[in-house]
Amino acid sequence: MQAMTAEDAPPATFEEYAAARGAALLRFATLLTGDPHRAEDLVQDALAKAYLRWEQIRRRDQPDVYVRRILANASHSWWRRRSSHEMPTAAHPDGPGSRDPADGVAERDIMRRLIARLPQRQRVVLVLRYYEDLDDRTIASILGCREGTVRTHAMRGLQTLRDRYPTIDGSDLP
Amino acid sequence: MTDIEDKLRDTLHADADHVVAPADLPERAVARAGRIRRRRRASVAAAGAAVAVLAVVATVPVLRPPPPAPPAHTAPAIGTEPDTLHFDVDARAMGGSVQYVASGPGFESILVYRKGRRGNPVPVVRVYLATSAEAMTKARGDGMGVPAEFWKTEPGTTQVVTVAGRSGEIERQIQQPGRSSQWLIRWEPMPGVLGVLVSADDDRAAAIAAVDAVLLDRTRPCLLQFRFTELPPSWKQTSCYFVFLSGPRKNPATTAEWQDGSATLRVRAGVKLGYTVTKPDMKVEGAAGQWRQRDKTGIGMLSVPDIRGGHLSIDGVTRPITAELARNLVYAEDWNDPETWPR
Repeated sequence: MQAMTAEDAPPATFEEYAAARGAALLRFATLLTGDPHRAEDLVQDALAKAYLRWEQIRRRDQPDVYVRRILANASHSWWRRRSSHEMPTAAHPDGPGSRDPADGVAERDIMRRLIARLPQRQRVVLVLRYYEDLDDRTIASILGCREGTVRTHAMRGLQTLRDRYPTIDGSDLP
Repeated sequence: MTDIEDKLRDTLHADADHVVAPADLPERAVARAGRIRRRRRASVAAAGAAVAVLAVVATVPVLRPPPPAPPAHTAPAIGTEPDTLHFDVDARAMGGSVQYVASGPGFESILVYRKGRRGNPVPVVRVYLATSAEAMTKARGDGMGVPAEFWKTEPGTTQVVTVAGRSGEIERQIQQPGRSSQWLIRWEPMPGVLGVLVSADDDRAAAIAAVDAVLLDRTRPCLLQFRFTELPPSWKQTSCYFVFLSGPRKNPATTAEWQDGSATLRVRAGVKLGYTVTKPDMKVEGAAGQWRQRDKTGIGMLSVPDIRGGHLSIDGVTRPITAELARNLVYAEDWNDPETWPR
């Protein structure tokens, strides 16, 4: 598994860190929320909080761990607030008519919806593991839990995807 | 790697790999940090002493020159009137334009910025005047740019200097060796007043020359697009933040020329503040508003979207006070024209 860049060479200044890691953080937040606008808002907020205690974070903590922890927790709150509303998914340019399995769009569309329906913690773990390529130890430090818990979330999330994926055509999803 | 893991990885990358961060993300984060800091301070003040700090940030497409003012007071008037600054600057001579003015108890500040390559504001010169060291610390903790505590004096650069005919001290400051630097001048512009000028340019002579562009015989108003005809008992306006923007944002639809800069009273236009008014429960100037309680202390937020193209939020208030504030709110006819702003 690859380690986080920011861990290898701690940035000297907040500006350097934000400039170097902003896009990665935004991608992470986009996957957590399924809403690019909300993601940008969350990232701004997380970076602002990091800025306020930057010296401390830089000395004692790993900035990426700190900021990703804020994002994970903030996205949790956001999803909880939206629990009675529509189920957001990542923006998708194609309509139902273009769901041709041959080009993979339909498969991704189904997968996207299944990911969105996962419990928040499982979704975060899967994003950190399969998008960020982080190892379980790092994921555990971000989420503030044990490695075993990370493995449990990952296993359950994958099992849910595996169970539902073959039998679903997307029409019965929100 | 199983097939489902491949599909998962493929979907995540397809969804996120195209995401690009806005170029000014660091600047926006720093600005938001400033707002968070001010909000925290204001919350403490509101809960403890029931004193309101009103602050507003606004944007004006065209900055009008300040009106002529009488000569400066003989006694230090710095920080005594929240809606008036008792000095001004020749921003053009400094190489930028005024984008931020602030006035609070015992301090006043004017920040001059220029437009960066991406249209983002870039600090040029910051001028802070205060009547005490404590007030100076507050003034410099405005949340704009890199906080003062992050800058360190470069050894061997501190020198006594004469600026604007008065004795002062100049020093070069750095964040890290080899990184960005700035020049800072401390002087006493008038008896009983401390002055700090920070020049972002790594040019000692330019910093000294910038002091000459600090106009002590002028005043500058700190007007807002609205004001309260009456404030709740024991409340008073103690400070004013007023920010001009350098130009239109990337997305014209958002008309995001407004920036907020306040903990307790904020103005924006067409910009989401991270929440949505879904069930208006009061009318303010005929517009739907909503009071939103944010925590168990009973302190909440009055949110009034779409008033004359603006979005007003009053943070850190209780519901009864919200209703009173709403009744006593007076708006400018044209939020883009300072001439119409209530005085």
